[in-house]
Amino acid sequence: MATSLLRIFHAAFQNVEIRLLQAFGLHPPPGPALAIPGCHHPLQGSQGSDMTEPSGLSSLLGGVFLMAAPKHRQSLERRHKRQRHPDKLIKPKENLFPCPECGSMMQEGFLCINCYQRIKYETDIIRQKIKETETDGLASTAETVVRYADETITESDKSKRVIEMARKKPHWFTKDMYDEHWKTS
Amino acid sequence: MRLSLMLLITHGKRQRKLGGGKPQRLNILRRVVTGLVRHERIESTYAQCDEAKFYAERLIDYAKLGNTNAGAMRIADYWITEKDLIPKLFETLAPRFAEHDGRYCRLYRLPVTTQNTRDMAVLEYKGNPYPSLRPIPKNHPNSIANILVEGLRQDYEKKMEIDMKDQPAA
Repeated sequence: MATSLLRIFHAAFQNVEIRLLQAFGLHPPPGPALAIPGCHHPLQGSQGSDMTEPSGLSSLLGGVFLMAAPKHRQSLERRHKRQRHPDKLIKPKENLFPCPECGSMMQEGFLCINCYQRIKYETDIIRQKIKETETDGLASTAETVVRYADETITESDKSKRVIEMARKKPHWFTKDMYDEHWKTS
Repeated sequence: MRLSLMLLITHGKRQRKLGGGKPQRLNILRRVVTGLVRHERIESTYAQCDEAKFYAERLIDYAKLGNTNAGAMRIADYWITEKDLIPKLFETLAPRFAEHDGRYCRLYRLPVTTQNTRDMAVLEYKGNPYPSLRPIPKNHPNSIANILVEGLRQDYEKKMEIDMKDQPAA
């Protein structure tokens, strides 16, 4: 504590000494303490001799644009009022309901993400099989039908491209799962 | 340009901006439409899918004119960047939608989750071979609630029949 105070006083006295010496012209003046980058006008060089030099603050801030800055600290109350306003809270969603297929919660107007991942997996397998049938990656002009192991290939499918799957049809792919379930049992 | 009531209300500013200008917008839309014609079901951002849906449907309308029509072929050549898909458009998609009018596409939105933070959507042509994205409606005639409701309905009908018989006599 004492040492720091002493150091401050020492620096202050040194400043006073330099200023006094400067006043009597005994000390060389300090270098430019404030270097302000100002833009130099190209025409100013040629007409500089004719024009009178600007004086005051404008000469010091040649071409510098000052922005507004806060003068006072905002109180905690004001800050919290702004940051924690009820309008900024995340609003609870009220359009959620269980998916009729899988039972996980889904939003109205959107797909069920749980069902979509399952369908996307199946779609990717079918797409891969379609790609294998195409020669040189050229698209075929025939309609495509997917037939699983438990399905029969009808005569109407003969003009179409049939993608045969080795396994049975997934239960969620059927037209009406409930009827088939009750027919078999 | 979309001609609709919404266009009137919004002073002609119906389209949303895609990319960084008109050529880039059209390139994005052509890429999405070409992918849709090839795969018949694609996943992209909701904005791109929603904008491309209109063009994908108009493309079918032009394809219905037939591959001998010069205007239809020019439109198909512009919108389909991969040229092996042009026969598919005229010989597969156009006959498929011969009896349909207008809405040939379906657009579904995907929910925004922690894994999928972008606003994504699925765009598909109708009649594709993939499993349906919509939940299939089911009947549950043997559930206890439906049996009770069915019994109530039959009782009500019987009661109404008796009332109708009584009314003319009285």
